[in-house]
Amino acid sequence: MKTTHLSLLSLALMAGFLNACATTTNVPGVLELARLSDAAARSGLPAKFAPRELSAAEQTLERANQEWVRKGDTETCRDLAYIAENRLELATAVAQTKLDRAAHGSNETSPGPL
Amino acid sequence: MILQRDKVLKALIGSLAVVGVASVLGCASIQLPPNEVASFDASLLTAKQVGVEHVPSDRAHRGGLGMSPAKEHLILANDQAAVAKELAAAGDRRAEFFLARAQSDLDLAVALALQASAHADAACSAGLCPPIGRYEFQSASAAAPIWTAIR
Repeated sequence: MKTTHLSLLSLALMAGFLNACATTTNVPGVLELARLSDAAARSGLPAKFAPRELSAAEQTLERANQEWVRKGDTETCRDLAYIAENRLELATAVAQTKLDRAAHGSNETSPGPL
Repeated sequence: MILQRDKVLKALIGSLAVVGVASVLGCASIQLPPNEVASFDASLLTAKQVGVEHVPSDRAHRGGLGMSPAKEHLILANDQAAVAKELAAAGDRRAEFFLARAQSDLDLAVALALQASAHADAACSAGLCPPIGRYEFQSASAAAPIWTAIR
């Protein structure tokens, strides 16, 4: 009887452990992608040249993360992660545009090679 | 007299039932937030003025569908806006999220088009103008549209 109780308990513990593993590893791909893009943006051009756009993207990513923590892999979580990813790409595009415009300006004003 | 009152009562209950059913059916659809719809329409106009549709794809800037990433995001935006309208008509609350997704795609499309233009400007000023293909390149400082198809 005691053995049955123990094995049931160990089964329950194992199920709980597996469930915990499943919830930490099964992050939706789109959220994972947005997190990676965010890490790249923080250490790249957007942090320097498009901080406002980066901040807006990170706010949306934070909402996606919160949804994931509270409710798991929901459609809202995926939608928010999708929007965050787009906003992170936008921050990168804005930063690149600023750089290119600066290069264009400096090339126009400089005499250039003879 | 009593019979007539019963008839009136029955007719009243019947009409109330009809009104009830109609109002339930009417509530089946939801309205998308007007401000966000207006914002999407305004961005769509900006995308047209910037010439997102005509941004050429090159080796470095080609999306999965073989078009420029800017054009692909424009297509995605339009598709998702259409889905948002369908969902709203069906009373699905996800309609608002689909509109937000569409808006983010549209904003990105415009940003990518401006980036392509600035990049080509910078390349030209460095003496490395992009090859002129189906599209004619115009300077970012030129009047909109930035990218125009050669007629």
